Amino acid sequence: MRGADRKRAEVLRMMLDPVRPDVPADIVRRATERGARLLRRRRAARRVIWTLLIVALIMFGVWASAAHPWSVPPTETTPPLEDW
Amino acid sequence: MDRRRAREFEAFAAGAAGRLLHAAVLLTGEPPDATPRAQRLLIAALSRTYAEWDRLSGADGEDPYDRARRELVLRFAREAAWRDPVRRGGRAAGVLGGLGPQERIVLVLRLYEGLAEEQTAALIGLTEERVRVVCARAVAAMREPSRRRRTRPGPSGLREAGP
Repeated sequence: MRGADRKRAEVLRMMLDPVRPDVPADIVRRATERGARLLRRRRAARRVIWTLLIVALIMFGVWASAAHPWSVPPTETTPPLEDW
Repeated sequence: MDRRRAREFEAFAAGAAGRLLHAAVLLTGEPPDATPRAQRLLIAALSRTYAEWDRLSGADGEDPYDRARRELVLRFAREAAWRDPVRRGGRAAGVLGGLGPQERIVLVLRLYEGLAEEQTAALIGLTEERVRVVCARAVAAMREPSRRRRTRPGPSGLREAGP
């Protein structure tokens, strides 16, 4: 296991060896701007979904209060006449 | 609210960008002085982190650095799967240039980032056993034929040649 650790350390040194890449000065600003855009878009999408959901609920409520879908429709056939 | 988020995020990003960019450059294998692809990956990962900042900075949120790193690595893996299912022979360069995308990812996470096998496996969706195998193979490839590769440039079949 020692050998494996040593080999890994050697490879890690190879990885760290070259100069670190320069971080462009504006990279954080660009990331922030893009992140803000992403956030705005997500919020807008969430708003649209909620709005649609609420509109659908209201429409259902209006329709239900007008149509009373829970009340049993009046029977269309006359019940048979018995014991007359 | 927005201003506070931006301030917190910028403080985080300024500290993390250097290390993340280095990791990205190791993944993409670009020369240190021209790293457009790594920068693109970094910006994408950081902007995603910004968009989720409110959740991340909460008490039980994921660590922002972990989140950015996860996004960076997975984005690279996704692109690699699209772009070079067969390794792009001549274009691979950099320290890890002789390795395939998966081997580069494992080396960056295990060695450069110092993640445990278990976390590495969970992050990239492999079994721990597989991570161990890929890591050992990549380490062996880095130590042996890479030295020869330097003297003989071109698409040498490093990956295929190994046992």
